[in-house]
Amino acid sequence: MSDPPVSRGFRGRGRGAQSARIPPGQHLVSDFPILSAGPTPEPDLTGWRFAIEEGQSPIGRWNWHEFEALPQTEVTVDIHCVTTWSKLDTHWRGVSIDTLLEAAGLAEPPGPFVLVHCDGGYTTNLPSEDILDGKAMIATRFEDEPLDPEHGGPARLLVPHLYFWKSAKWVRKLQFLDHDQRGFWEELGYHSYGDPWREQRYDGD
Amino acid sequence: MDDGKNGAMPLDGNAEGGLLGELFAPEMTAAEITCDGCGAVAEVGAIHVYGTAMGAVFRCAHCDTVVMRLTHTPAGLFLDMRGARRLFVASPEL
Amino acid sequence: MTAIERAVAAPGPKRLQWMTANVREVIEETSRVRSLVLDVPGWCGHRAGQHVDVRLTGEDGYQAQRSYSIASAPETPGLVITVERIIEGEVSPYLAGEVRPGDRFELRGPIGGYFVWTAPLDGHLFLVAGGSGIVPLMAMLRHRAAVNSDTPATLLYSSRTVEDIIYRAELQSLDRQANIKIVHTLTRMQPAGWSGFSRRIDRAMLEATCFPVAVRPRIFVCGPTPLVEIAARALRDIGHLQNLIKTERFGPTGG
Repeated sequence: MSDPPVSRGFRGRGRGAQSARIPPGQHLVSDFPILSAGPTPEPDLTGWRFAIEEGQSPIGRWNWHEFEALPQTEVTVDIHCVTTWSKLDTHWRGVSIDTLLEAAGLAEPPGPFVLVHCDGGYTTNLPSEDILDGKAMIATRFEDEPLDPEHGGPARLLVPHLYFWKSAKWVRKLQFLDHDQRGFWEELGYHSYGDPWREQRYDGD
Repeated sequence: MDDGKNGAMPLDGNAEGGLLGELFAPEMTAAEITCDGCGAVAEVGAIHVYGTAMGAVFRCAHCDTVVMRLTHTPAGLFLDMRGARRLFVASPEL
Repeated sequence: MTAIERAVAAPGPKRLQWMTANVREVIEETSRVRSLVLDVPGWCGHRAGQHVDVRLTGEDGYQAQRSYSIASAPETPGLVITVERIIEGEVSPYLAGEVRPGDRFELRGPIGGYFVWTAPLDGHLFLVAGGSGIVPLMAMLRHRAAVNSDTPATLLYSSRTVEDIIYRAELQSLDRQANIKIVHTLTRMQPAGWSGFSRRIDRAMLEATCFPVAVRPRIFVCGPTPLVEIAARALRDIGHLQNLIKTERFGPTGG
């Protein structure tokens, strides 16, 4: 197939000099774009439950009141979306995964992989070690305000060192597994790991 | 076209006619899909579609079941239709 | 004939392929909106309401793609798309800003058999447009005019100010014809002596402008998602049947 015709004078966004904090192929935004795989769920804090499972066995379960009472962590991080926007210095508060495992009485994750489950059937997969040691939290506050439903409120996973589709919105459960099970986008050709610095957008990158 | 930054609200399936046209020869937005979750039948062009920057996620308007999802990656086109029971394309479109 | 013989004798539809569009003319519709008249070798025609995907390729190979509604009637030679320049957009500042006659880009289509109107269809036509949502509905009105149809048609068109009304002169001319009514609402600012509506589209405005439910009009609503949601819900509440209402939301495909 021949090369596509070049459109005179067209330049894409963010094709100029890149800052060291912006991964390859990304551009900086000042707003906070929203991307969802389904409708925004109506927040229901009385009915909200968060669970940790090993395979099919429940290990820990919290209602909203119990979850809010757990030790809180605050972070300021850069986030990178596979659709090429990046946002620097975003501020979040929530419960780190380390704290959750400790609260459930675990010294180690009960499996080398985790499948994240959310409202609306959305899932994503990660190696367990990528959510430990301060690398991830269940975030409930963004920029000192309760997390907006359109951005994943009341609670979303936050794993900023990977592309942002892994920071699953409306998170409900972390299911630890002994094998890597592809999630919603990973089943459809997106990368199973998703490191923005190695531009791992799609499977095989 | 509005500011384009709020993907929380769905588009109509018609907006993904181009992506569908990469895979299917007949015009797909007039095709009918039967939802495997609740049995509702809808024209593809009228089904709510989400996530369009990453791929197309078609959800049944009655029960939110994902009836169809598509992505086009460098490897190729992926189509998952586990949420659909049946697809019908009328003869004039064939 | 066997199935194979039939397929060979009259090959069915082909999958969409990218074609090259050459810009023949650039028309300034408003300060932010331009129409591009295109020559597209190999173009097979379209139906009013359909859109095209446009793909731009830069010198370095970078590509960006967006969808735009076709503004021209199928009967008119020369394909026309109308593009609103979105600030911070990636494609629209190029198409509705930089582009000059002689430029070219890739295009595929026509796309969308769902949001389509053809003159032989029976039933009055009620069109609701918000901003650049007017484009596919204008294609429908231009098609209607091109085939001399006398199908009763009403357009309710929401714009911010009178300067933002796309195709204003052409709509004024259509409004003078029998069987067509063009109703404007200006939501941000109205000129002195304005006698049209001056608020966002709501149920009362739709009830005042639309054909009665009993007439069973075919309804097309196109524009920003919030406007489309409000209008579609209001029309259903008024009693119009869901299967007579077709919507096209403009969301993140713009820019």
